[in-house]
Amino acid sequence: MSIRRFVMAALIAVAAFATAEAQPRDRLVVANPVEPPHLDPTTHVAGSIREVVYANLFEGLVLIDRDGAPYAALAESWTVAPDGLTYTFRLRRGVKFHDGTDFDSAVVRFTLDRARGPDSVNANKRIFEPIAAIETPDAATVILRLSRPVGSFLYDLGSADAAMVAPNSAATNNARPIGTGPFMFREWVRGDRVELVRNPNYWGRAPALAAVTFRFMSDAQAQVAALRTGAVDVVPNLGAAELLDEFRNNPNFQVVVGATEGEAILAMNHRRAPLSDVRVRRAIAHAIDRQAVNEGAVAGNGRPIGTHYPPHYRDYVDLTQLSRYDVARARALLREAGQPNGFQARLIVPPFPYARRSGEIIQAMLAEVGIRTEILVYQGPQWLSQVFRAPYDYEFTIIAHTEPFDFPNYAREDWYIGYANPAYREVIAQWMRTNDAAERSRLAQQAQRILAEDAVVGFLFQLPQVAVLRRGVTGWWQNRPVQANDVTQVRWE
Amino acid sequence: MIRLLVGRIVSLVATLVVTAVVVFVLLDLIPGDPALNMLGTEAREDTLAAARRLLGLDRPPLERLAVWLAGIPVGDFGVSFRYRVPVGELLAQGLAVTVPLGLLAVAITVAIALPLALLAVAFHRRWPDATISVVAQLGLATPNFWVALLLILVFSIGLGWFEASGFPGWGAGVLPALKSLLLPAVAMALPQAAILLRAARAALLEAARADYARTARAKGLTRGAVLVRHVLGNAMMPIATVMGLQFAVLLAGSIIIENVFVLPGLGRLVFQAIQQNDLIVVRNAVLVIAAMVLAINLAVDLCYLALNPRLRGR
Repeated sequence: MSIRRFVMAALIAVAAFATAEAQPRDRLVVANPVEPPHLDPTTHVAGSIREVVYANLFEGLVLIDRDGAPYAALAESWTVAPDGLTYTFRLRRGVKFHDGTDFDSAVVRFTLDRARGPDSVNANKRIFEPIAAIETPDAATVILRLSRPVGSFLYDLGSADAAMVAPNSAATNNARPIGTGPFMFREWVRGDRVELVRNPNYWGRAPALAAVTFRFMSDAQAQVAALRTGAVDVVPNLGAAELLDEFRNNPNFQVVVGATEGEAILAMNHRRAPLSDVRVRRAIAHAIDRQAVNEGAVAGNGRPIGTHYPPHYRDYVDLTQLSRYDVARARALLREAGQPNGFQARLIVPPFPYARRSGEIIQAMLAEVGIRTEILVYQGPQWLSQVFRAPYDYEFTIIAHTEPFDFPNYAREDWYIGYANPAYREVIAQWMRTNDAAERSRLAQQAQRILAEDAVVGFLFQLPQVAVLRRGVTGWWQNRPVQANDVTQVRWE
Repeated sequence: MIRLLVGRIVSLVATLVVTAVVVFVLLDLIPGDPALNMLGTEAREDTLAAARRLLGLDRPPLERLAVWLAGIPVGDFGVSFRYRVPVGELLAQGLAVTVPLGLLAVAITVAIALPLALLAVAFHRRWPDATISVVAQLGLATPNFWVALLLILVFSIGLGWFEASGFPGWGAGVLPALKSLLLPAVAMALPQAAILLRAARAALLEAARADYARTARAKGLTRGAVLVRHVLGNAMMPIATVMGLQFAVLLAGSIIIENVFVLPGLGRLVFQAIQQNDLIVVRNAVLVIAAMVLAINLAVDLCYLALNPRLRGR
């Protein structure tokens, strides 16, 4: 190569590099662990759907913000009647779906009727069940009349299950989702990625990002490799916590440890002896060193919990001392319950890493006090059918319940735990009825205490979320009050 | 000849029908409710019932079997429980990755095995033959997923020549797509090449000892000319048999490799469908794989006819 040609080539290369650098960075690639089954959050329970579409593509009347509070989205404002039975929503005007369809009160009526109708396959149909009547006096007003007051109603409307969908696109949202959000669906390469692009006609503030790609990588090593090679900018929840140190010490990355709504528990079946005996359950609670489980299962990134409530909320009561690790006390309680030699039981665990790891540690801890458990690892579908459906054929399982504010489930008669305490049911009934904030927080705290005192299950830790972000990514949610990757506020700095 | 072909095709279809019925019955016996999978732990009875109606699971098994079988000839395989799109679409997307991957792997297998086998026979009982045999032995003992991890370590993470995983889609262009299939194809091909190499070496050695080979040598042909012109042709029958089996293994057996490399092929589709109780996808995919294996067997039989004129008279 002549010197002149070499210089030319070098100049061109530098110029190309410079222009590439000068362009503002407005694209983000996120690696989600699970590919969604489809993209309609109103007909499937999968969190993997919400991790792509919530707030980015689909919006509800309200949405949940990064602190877990509802804020006005497609509803501009609302009023709640003093009796808590009538909700009047003022809708935003001029909002259009991505295909140009107008958003108005007819759409709200359609969405809610579809979700509560006889053919509804909404995974959270209970949200819509209290709605007795829907009135639409004009295109921008919706009045919902409830059959009973529901304290969490507004919050529930902020869930992905209540996302607004249009009549002409609802049936095809699974493959080509059409919402009102700041990002529009562009492409889904099955097995690899979903691409979203900025919605130029968005009603609100335009997002900083022009395009977001969600890639699907279940393998933690693949996630790490993709971060290293620059193929991915964000891993919202790194699969293997032991790989974190490499990123903690690397100035090109930020590691963000946050909390989710998932309470990891050792669930016990109260329908079976001897787990129906509160002394046996207390013994089990004392036999578990939850800090050790936290270390072993999620590298200590979780927060130990003593009841079923996320510790990052104001109303949380720290009750971990009620069930502190005390093997002698556990043995004494078992003797008192007529089980001096312990007993034999099955521990049926789903294939999630946190559950399998917790299972092995807990098996050893229970063995210390004489409770011999056989670990059975089931695939998701079989585990669901066997544990969560009558006749509830299990003794122990491990699960993180990720729904926000799901502690009222323990009051359900048809729930898999089988916890039958009238006092708890009364507290929950009151909590559900009341709209008064102070009263709700008092009742929530009372509920937490009852659950802890009855050692309803073995409370382990709050499931953490450990995100790895490339340097310069800002606006990412630290905690995960709803299962979502809301990128509407994310930008490069 | 034509009667033979018609007979083979009729038996192929009959085999497929029996396979379909057996697969349907077995999968229907598996515990787990796809509706529950769709709606989760908080699901209530009324939504579960609606979901079963939506998925067609409220119909009696015989009716579902009949509807399924009747749809197949017109390309209607039903709708996936999980993805809620026609199964035919999912299968087509999977095959668009798995078939090119399998063909590439077969090509690499043959390209490695046949020249090495010829070399080994040409230098029989000398050092090239011994070296090749040892390497083949090693190849036989190495599982393909381990080869895959090794290739990723060296070529993706070490040298950075390839992406560690993923598939850009054929929409991204033929070359980028083929590039992402290359490492997986090599990982699948290496152990198979070792098998083919050993079989080909044995078949070639046997043919080389035959009388016609000695006659050809006596006639004054060089060792190489005898190998290529006379020995190879006669040894092709057993080699084609092994290749046919391998092709079936490579097409149907890419589940592990597709998972290691995160390729959206048929194998990964089946794997995920089994995990998610998407039985309608599983049974159709099993049927497609069975059909491919049967078609390959048929093709191998036809190859015999082409390779061996003595069979054509029958």
